[in-house]
Formats: sequence, structure tokens, C-alpha cells
Amino acid sequence: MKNFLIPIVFILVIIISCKKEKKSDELDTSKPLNFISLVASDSTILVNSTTKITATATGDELIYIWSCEWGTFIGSGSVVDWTVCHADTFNVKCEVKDKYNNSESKYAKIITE
Amino acid sequence: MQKSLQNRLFKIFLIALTLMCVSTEVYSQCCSSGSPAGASTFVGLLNKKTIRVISFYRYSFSDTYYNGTEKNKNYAILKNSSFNYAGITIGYGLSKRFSAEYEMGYFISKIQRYDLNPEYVLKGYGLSNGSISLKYGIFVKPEKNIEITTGAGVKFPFAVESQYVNNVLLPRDIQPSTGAFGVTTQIFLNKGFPLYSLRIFSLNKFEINGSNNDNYSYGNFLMNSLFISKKIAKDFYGFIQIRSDNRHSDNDVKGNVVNTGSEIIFVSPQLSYSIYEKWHLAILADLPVYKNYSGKQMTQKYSLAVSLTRDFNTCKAEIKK
Repeated sequence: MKNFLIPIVFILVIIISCKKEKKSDELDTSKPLNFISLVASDSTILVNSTTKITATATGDELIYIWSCEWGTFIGSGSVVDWTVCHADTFNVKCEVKDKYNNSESKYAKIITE
Repeated sequence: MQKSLQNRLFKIFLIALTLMCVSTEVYSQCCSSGSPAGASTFVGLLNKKTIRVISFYRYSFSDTYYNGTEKNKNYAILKNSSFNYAGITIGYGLSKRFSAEYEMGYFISKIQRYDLNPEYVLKGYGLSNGSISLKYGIFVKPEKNIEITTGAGVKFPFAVESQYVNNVLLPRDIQPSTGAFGVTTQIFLNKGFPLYSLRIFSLNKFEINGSNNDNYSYGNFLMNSLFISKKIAKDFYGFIQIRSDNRHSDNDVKGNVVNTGSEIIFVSPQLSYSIYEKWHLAILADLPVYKNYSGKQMTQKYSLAVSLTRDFNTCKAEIKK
């Protein structure tokens, strides 16, 4: 029995410590997060009118997080409308996150008159 | 001795009254549906070792734009706003002259409706702010039905981070919590006329709001109110409240925020029903009769509230109203 035990343990150690080598024909399908642009259809608008803001990004299972100190977002996702009830200059922020929790942010400046 | 005590009390009263009357410019928020005030007239000191629980619900609706004192035709895509708010106040009589109070509230919904096709609705919800305060009776004469009580306390937020829905930041006006701490002071004056089943009392509050994580502070708030209550039938009491709400301008990193601040005068009729002299059910309506807003703002049209009050009086003393 003892004669078999040592080789069995030796084999088990080799099996456990071996890493699976990546085969050349197995493709990495994950896409790196790339926040390409954040564009407002109108960067100067009248108070209480709306502007459409489009976020363009690539990556896996992206979510778009919108915020601004003032104003209201209408909709959600990669394209939203935005409006505000007083005149000033505003920075609308969009943060894009992928499923690996990577994130990038961009700002769109909008002036209301 | 009696004269010096009276002089001291009079000075304290004058100082408190002066503090209560501090009011400079008055502003409010441009799209706000307002903020809830309590819905009970059970104010003032509690008997020692008495626990008072007040639960209330308030609904408010706003759909009219004002600019100063003039109505403005609805010029924005925000059509109307409303909120449903539930709160609870727990008071405890620490001694004959000291009472403590804890209050908290929850926005069941805080809604904005936009004039789009189809209609677009945004909804905030959640725990709002709470407060803890102490009241002290500086002049209490139950045999003469007179009470002068002052109080001070701290307001605290249940949430310091702004609320997002579907990964979109909600507008400030429908955030459930201010996200900031504050301090409150109040003075309560009461005179009863038992011969006529009549009571006249005044409740005055001043709140100072701190800044939240966004470096935004809501305007300080001054409330002055006068109540007249009278027993109108067995177990039924009628109240009329005239109240002035003065809200100072909000502030952010740039300074005063435009289209914020207001001065509103309300008339609030209320009916209270006493159930076995233990439970008190009340309903009230807040009707604004004078409005003065800084800039263009959406204003409250009306507000309705209902409250249920119960005293747990371990000393078997009379319930104080």
C-alpha cells in the first residue's frame, strides 16, 4: 500500500499545480471599456427647453449613470434629454461602467439663456 | 423676588420673540412641491412621564407658477408636482417643565409630472429627515391656563447621498432628504379660556439648514403661526390656524440660488375628534392665501393632512392639549 501512496500523491500534486494553458484558438471576447464621446444636440438652449445628449461607448454590458447639479433628465440609457428651469452654465456628467466595474466619465457643457 | 423673576422671564421672552422674527429675503425652489410640516396641534409641554405618539400623513399638490406675487402661465414642461408623506412624532415628559421630542418622516412618493407625450413622471421616495428636540417651559401656570415654552433641537438626514433611479440622478426638488444637518428653535405661547372652551396659542419655529455633500444648503425657514381652537360639540374641536412660512434663499458654491425663497401665508382649518378622550383624530387643510416668490417658481395649490394622537399617561394626569 505504501508503495502506491507516494506516486499517487505525486501525481495529484502535479495535476493540481498544472495551469491550463490558453490555446491559441480560444478567443478573448471581453471588450475593453472605451467611452468615445458625449455630445449634446444643442449646447446652448433656452430655459425650460430640452437638449438631447448622446453617450457613445463600447464595452461589455455598459450602464450609463447621468448626473448634473441642476436640471432634469428625461429618459435613461445612452441617450437622454435634459432640461433646466433657470439660466446658467451647466456640466452634465455621464459615467459609463462595464460589467467588470471599470468606469469612465465625460462632461457635456450646456449653456441656458 | 417675584418682580425680578418676571423681569427675567420678560427678557427671555423678548429675546426669543426677536429671534423668531428674524427674516430677511425670502425665496424658495423653482420646481418644488414644498416640504411637509407636521399635522398636529398637540404642541407644548407634556406631563411628567407621559409619552405622546403622533402619526400623520400629508398630501400636497402644486401646479401653479408664480413670479413674485403674480400668477404665471405655465411656461415650463413641468406640469405639476405632488408628494405623499408619512411621519411620526414621539414626545416624552421628562419633568414638569422639560419635554423631549423625536420626529421622523418618510416620503411615500415625491413626484414630478412633465408635459410630454406620453406624460413623463419622475418619482423620489424614502426616509426624509429626523429631528430631536428639547422643550422647556419658562412660564407654566396650569391654573391660569398659560404656558410659554421654548425649545431647541437638531435636524439630521436619513440619507446623505442623492437618490438615483434607473442610474439617473433625480432632480433636487424630489430628493427625499436634504442630506444636511440643521438646528431648530421654537417658542410656544398658550392661553386657555376654559369658560368658553376656547384656546389661543402660537407656535413659532426657526430652522437653520447646513450644507449637504453637494455643498448645497436649503434656505433657512421661519414659521409663525396663530391658532384658535374651540370645542364645537361633544368630543369635537375646531381649529383655525393662520400661518406664515418664510423660506430664505438656497445657497450653493456660487452663492444665492436664483428662483429660490418664498413668503407664504396659509389659512388652515382643522377638525379634531376625541375618541374616548384617549385617541385624537384630526384632519386639516393648508390653503395658501398669499404668495410671494422670488423669481419664477411652481407653488403649492393645497395640502391635506390627517393625524392620530395618543397619550400614554403613566401618571394618570389629564391629557394636555
